[in-house]
Amino acid sequence: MEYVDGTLDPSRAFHIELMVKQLPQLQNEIAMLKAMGETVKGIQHPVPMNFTRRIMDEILPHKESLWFRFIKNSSNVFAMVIVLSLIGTVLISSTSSTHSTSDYFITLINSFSPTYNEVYAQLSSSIQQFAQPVNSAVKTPSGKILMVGLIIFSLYVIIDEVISKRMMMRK
Amino acid sequence: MNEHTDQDIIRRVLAGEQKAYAELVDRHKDKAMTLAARMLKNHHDAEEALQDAFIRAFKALPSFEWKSSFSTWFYRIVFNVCSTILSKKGNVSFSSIDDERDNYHSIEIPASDAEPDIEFEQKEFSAVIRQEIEKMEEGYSAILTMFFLQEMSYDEIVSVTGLPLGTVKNRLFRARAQLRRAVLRHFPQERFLEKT
Repeated sequence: MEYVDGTLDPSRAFHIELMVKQLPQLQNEIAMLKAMGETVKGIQHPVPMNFTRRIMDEILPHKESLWFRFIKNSSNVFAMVIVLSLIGTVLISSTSSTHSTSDYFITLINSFSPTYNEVYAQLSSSIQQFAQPVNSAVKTPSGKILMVGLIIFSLYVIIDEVISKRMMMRK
Repeated sequence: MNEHTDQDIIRRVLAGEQKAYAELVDRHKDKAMTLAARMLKNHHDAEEALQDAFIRAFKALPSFEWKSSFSTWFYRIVFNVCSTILSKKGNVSFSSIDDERDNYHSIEIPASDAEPDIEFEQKEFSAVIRQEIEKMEEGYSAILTMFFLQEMSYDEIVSVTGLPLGTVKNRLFRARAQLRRAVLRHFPQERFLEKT
């Protein structure tokens, strides 16, 4: 075997070579063993294309900001939209009262620029038209319960997502 | 030629250039995968084991012994990860030391009266070898792979497997004998005669 592998010392290998030249059967045997070795060498199991990237993703620290990864997840965006919509509805519903929050914002924006005031007024009126049915629904007891439920659910989704991302980063 | 050695890459990784590790992964992944696949006999398990081995190797790089080559050091990790998986599955073929030799020389060599046929069906031959390696015990196919594919010396295989030199030689011998028997069942030996 050492002769076939080429690991035999040269003097012994020379003697064996002389013998091999005289024996065709031995020549066959050696040729077969060499062919076997070459074939074993040629049979490989390649890894999938993205293998290196997967390893590096596991190894390298994540450079994306927490905010970016949060936005990437559509469920978070959905939850965020619900929360913002509900907050917006509450703000708009309070515009009829004397000292409403939206009045405060209008005054605040007005102090910066009259153009902002016009834009805000237009935007506010169109949102009010759109939000009118929601607004009246929210004022009923079942609507209030539903709203609180949605807020709790949305906050749960957000907090759960942030915690699981942090756990993954630590892992 | 500006080919970086494995040790150059390790120095870069240890100096903080962690992305350089991808070069090491690219260099060794296919051969290491072959070793893992031949030990575990399952492509999916082999892939997971290899991923685990690369991550372990990365974490252990600060303790890398510079006197040995990265490949030997890394294959030791691959071998250990695969051995652990096999032992969990109840396969303990690596821990058993069997020095019993096959009676290799008693196998009759067919006479070659016919005109030597140099060309033989490489695909069929390759398929026979592949099938036989699949059937082979993990402890034998792993050593066969290290010897032929990774082109490791006996000493390097000893270093990777932790087996005695005699056992390594014996297993390699027996693995070859098993392949030889399978080949001779399918092909007349005179077909292998080399062009001289």
